[in-house]
Amino acid sequence: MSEPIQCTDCTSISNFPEIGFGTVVNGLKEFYNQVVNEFRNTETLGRMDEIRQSLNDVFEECSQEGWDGYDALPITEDAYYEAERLIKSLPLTSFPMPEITPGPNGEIDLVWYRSKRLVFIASVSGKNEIVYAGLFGLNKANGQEYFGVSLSSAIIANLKRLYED
Amino acid sequence: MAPKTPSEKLARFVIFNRWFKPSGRFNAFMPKDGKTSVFRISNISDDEIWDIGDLKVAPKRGKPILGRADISALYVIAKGLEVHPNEPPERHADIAGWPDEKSKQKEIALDLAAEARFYKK
Repeated sequence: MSEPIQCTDCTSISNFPEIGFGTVVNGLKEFYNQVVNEFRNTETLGRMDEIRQSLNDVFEECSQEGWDGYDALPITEDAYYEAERLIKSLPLTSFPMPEITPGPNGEIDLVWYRSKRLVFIASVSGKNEIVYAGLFGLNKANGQEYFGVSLSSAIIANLKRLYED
Repeated sequence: MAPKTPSEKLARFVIFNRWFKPSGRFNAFMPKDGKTSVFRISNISDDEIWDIGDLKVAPKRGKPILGRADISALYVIAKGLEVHPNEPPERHADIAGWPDEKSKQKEIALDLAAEARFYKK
């Protein structure tokens, strides 16, 4: 008898595959998104609405130059939409939802903060790439990954590292 | 002109309220055009430090100071950065020598934020 195993390459079920076209595929995609959105709106996952609101607030607050009181660049629409896409790409239940914070160079940072030295950032600025950095106790990591259809396994690996205890 | 002593303290004045949240503090140190503006605050009173923010930073920025993040120059230098006095105004300096890669900048900024002490006004 076969047993289900976790797909380690499947970073998120919330992204409908991009292959296929036609009315049937579009109908399936719409139904799939409906199911995923209802799942997101459960009490356990109600934080998704909070994240979306936080993203909207950040964009509204930081869309003018100098929003930080110094010389910060404005958050662009491209950065906003890429942050939205990144949020939707996150595994639905494996990790807590991040906090949203703006960066002074026009980027949007998703921050998973446990303590001063247990923190991970994934940052987007509308250029199809994720710039990331993290402190894991005495260890550190940083890098950048192309952000295409799905989330890079490097981002997931760092989130697992952050929450591994 | 190098800092008078590596152990001198630096203050980054914070004008944006989201940078007081623990998750946002690293952005207070992120460089813009390769530099982070700070003030050298050793050997002056707390009131005098706040005066620097109120009189030299707030008017230029058109916004009130909400607080500051204090950090030792020694720690900044230990992260591979440099502290360049850049007056006027008096006591002003730039944290420079940041790497070009954004990811490395963020990692260093996380480190600085973890070491710094944040004070609300």
